[in-house]
Amino acid sequence: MRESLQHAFHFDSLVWHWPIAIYLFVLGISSGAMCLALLVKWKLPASQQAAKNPLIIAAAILVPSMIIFGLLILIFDLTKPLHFWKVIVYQFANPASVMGRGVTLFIAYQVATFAWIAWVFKEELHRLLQRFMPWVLKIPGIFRLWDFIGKVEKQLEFVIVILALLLGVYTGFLLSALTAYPLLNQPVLPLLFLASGLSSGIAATILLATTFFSAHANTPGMALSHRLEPPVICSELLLLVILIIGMKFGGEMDKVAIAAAISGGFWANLFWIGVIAIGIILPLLMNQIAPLRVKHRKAFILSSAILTLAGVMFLRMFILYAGQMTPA
Amino acid sequence: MDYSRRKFLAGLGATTMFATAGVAGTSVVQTLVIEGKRYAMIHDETLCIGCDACVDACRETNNVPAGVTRLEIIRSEPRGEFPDADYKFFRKSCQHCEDAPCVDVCPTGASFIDKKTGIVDVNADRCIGCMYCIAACPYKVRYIDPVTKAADKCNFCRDTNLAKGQLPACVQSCPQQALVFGDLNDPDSEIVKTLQQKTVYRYKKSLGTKPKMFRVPDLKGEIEL
Repeated sequence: MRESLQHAFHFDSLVWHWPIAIYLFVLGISSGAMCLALLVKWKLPASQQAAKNPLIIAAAILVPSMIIFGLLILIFDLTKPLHFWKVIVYQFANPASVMGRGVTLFIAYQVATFAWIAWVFKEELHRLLQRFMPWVLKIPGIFRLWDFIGKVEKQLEFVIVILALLLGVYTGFLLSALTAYPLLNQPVLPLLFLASGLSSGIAATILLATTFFSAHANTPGMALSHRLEPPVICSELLLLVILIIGMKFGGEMDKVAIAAAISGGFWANLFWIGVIAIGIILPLLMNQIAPLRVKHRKAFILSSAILTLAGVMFLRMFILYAGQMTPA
Repeated sequence: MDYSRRKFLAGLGATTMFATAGVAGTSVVQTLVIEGKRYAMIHDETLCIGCDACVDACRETNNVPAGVTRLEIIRSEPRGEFPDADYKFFRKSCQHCEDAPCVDVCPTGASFIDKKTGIVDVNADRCIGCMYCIAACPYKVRYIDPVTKAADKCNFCRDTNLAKGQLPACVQSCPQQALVFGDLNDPDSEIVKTLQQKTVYRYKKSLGTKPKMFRVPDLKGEIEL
C-alpha cells in the first residue's frame, strides 16, 4: 500500500506536484464565487442590500482571499521565489505564453474585483477605514474614485463576469498547453475546469455563508445557488465523458494515456470513487432523493457543499497527476 | 474633458506597453525569425558504442553540477545472445526544436530561440523557476540547475565551445565520430552532406516540434509492432 502510494506521487515524468493542484482549485473557487455573487446580486429584490446578503459577503471574502492564496502558493512553488516580480515586469516578453497572459489576467481581475467589493461594501469599508486607517480617507480624490466606481457599476460587473470566466478557463489552458502530456493536451480541459470551478465556487460560498454568516435555506439567493448546482455538476460529468470518449477515439498516445489514467491504480480509484462517486453522483442523488424538509437542514446543505468541494479537489489532483503519468 | 481623459488613458496604455516591451529586451516574437545559421546535430546510433565520453566532456566544458546532466546516452536491453549480444543507444538531450514547446510556454521570455544560430537557450537570470518549460518539453531534457535554480539544458555549447569557434564538447570527444554538428542552411556543410546520404529519423516528430536532432537508426534484427 505504502509502496503504491509512493509510486502514485513520485514518478519520472512528474514535474508539477500537488501545490499546483491546490492553486488550480482555489483559483476555480475564486472564479466561481465571483460569478455566483454577481448572479445573486442581480436577482436580489430591490428592498435588499447586497452588502447584507450572507452569500455576497461570503463570496466577497472568498474572491480576493482565494486568489491571493493561490498566487502565494505559486510564488513559493517557484525555484526562485524572490524573482517572482520578473514574471510581472517581463509578462509581455512572450505574448503567447498562457502563464504570461494569466499574470495579466490576475492583475486585471484583482483590480476589478477589489473595486467592486469596495463599492458594494462602501459603508462597511468606510467605517473600518475611519477606525483603523483614517489617513486613507484623506487621500485626495479617494471619494471621487469611489463615486466613479459606483457610476460604472454595471459596466464593471460586465467586465468582472468576463474576467471571472476567463480565470476559470485559464486554469484549464495552463495544463492543456502542455503538448508533452496527451491527457492534459485536450481542448475540452478549459471547459471542464471552468465547470468544476463554478461548482466549487458555489459550494464554497454556500459553505462559508452558512457556517459564518448564518445563511439558511430561505436566505435570498440560496434557492438560486441550489438551482445552479445540478446543471453545473451535470455539465462537469458530460465534459468528463467527452474527455474520455474523445481520447479513446484519439491517436495512439491518447488511447494509452486515458487507459492508464482510469483503468487501474491509485489515480483511477481516485477518479471513480473521489471524482465521479463522491463529487458528482452523490450530490446529484442527494438532491434528487431528499425531501424538501431534509434539504433545508443545515447539515444537508453543508454536507452537500463539502462533497462537491472534495470532488473538485480530487478532480484537480487526478488530472494533474494522471495527466503527467503518460508523456506523449 | 472626456476626450482628453480618453486620450490620456490611451497614451498611458501605450507608454506602459512600450516600457514593458523595452525592458523585455529580446522578445520571442523577434527571435522566431531565424536569420543566419540553423545549427543541428546527427547522432549515428549505428556508430555509437555507449562510452559516455560525450556526457563527461559536456559536464566538464559547461560546468554542469553533479546530480543533473544536459546529455544522456540511454542503453537498451541487450539484443541477441552472448557472445553476439549488443545494445542500442539513444541520445537524450535538447532537440533544439524550431517550434519549441518550452519557448512557447515560458512566461518571462527566459527560454528563447537565438535568432543567429537557431539554438534553444535559457537566460538563467530571467528564469523564475516555474518549471512550465520542464513540463512542456516532450523530450524531457530540461532540469533545474541546483546552483542557479534556473531551468537548464544543452545549448550546443553556445556560450562555451561554440563561442570560441570550436565544435560542441560532445562532438569533439566522440571516439566514433558518431556525432555530426553543423549548419542546415549551409549546403556544403558536413551535416547536410551526411543527411543526404544516410537514412535518419527524428524522435516524436509527429508532435510538430520540428526537432533538429537527427538520428541514424540502428535497427538490426528488430521486429516490433
